[in-house]
Amino acid sequence: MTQSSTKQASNKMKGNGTKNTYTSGIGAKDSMLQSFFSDELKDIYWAEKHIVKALPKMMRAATSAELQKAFETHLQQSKTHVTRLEQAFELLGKKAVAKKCDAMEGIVKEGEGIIEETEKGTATRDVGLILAAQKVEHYEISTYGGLAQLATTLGLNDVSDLLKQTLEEEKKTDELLTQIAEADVNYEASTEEE
Amino acid sequence: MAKFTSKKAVSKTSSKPEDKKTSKSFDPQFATDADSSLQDLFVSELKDTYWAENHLVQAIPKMVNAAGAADLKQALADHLEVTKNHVLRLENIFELLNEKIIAKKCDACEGLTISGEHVIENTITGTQVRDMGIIMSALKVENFEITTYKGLIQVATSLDRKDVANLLQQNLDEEIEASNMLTGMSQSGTDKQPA
Repeated sequence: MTQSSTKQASNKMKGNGTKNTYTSGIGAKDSMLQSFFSDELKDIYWAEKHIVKALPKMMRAATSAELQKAFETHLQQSKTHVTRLEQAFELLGKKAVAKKCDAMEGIVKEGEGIIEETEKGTATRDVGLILAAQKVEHYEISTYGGLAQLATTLGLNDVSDLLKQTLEEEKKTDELLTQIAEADVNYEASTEEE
Repeated sequence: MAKFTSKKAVSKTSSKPEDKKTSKSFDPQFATDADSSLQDLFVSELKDTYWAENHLVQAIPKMVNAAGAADLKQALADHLEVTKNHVLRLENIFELLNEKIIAKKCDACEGLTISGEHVIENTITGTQVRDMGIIMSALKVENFEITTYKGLIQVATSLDRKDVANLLQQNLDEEIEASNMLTGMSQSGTDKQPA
């Protein structure tokens, strides 16, 4: 949110001080595609902030230490993703505004449903949490993939680079969740008594 | 229906471990009655998915109407037919598991289609931006379904239900096909100048 955190991220991302803003190209009057792009950006901005709020709940609900740690790591990443999006808004010369993302709200709600339906401390709960978390990841992967492509179409390469960094991190998280599920959790859940 | 049930006979029931992973989840001693809580989770996810597929059968025609390009309209119309078949396959799975066919509201899928409706509301009929928006929303739905089916297949395998996993795999393959086609459309679309 703060100016300083955005700057910090921008410095981390590119060593050079040359920061392009697209105010001349995009500022005053947006094309239809540009306004569609910034609408989608507002959506995912809301979604990331929503995830930052939801992840601690998932972390507390998880059974295995490995899954708890995966959620914790992703919480930190998601905070960075929020900052990157703020930087993208800044590059576009726009205010960082969040617009409610119904899809992400629904996906998170489903995850909460799983916590309600499963018993604490069981491997089955972890299976459910991983299923839910992968839905979140895959939603983000398709969103960032689409946004990065739109940004490239619009000639916003700096913005596209930022989006791609986040995209890569989401993909890694997804792989990690798959590994955890395949390695232990499903097996343990299939052998546990109700 | 009978066509799907016959899959069961095809599925291998060999207890010979194929690799580390499958040998772990295939232990028949555990898979019989000790897995009821995982099976409950599975059935609950199945009800969710059943609701989602039925919901999409209602949602896709709106997208067909809103789309501009003839190839996009056709792709969506084709996927509507595929989706109707997915509903039938899921019903078949409920039967295989001796469970009642029940749909449980899937908030995620509802949210996805609401987001898709917003895209239609916020864009103008007949523009490339509208079509691009529809493709992006449809891709989100497809990817959501792909994730759901992959997860369900994994759990079905843990539960040693190859017959169920096979049916789910057929749905998954068709979702992947749809996703690939939409991705192709979105990429070829970027060559053109946006409206």
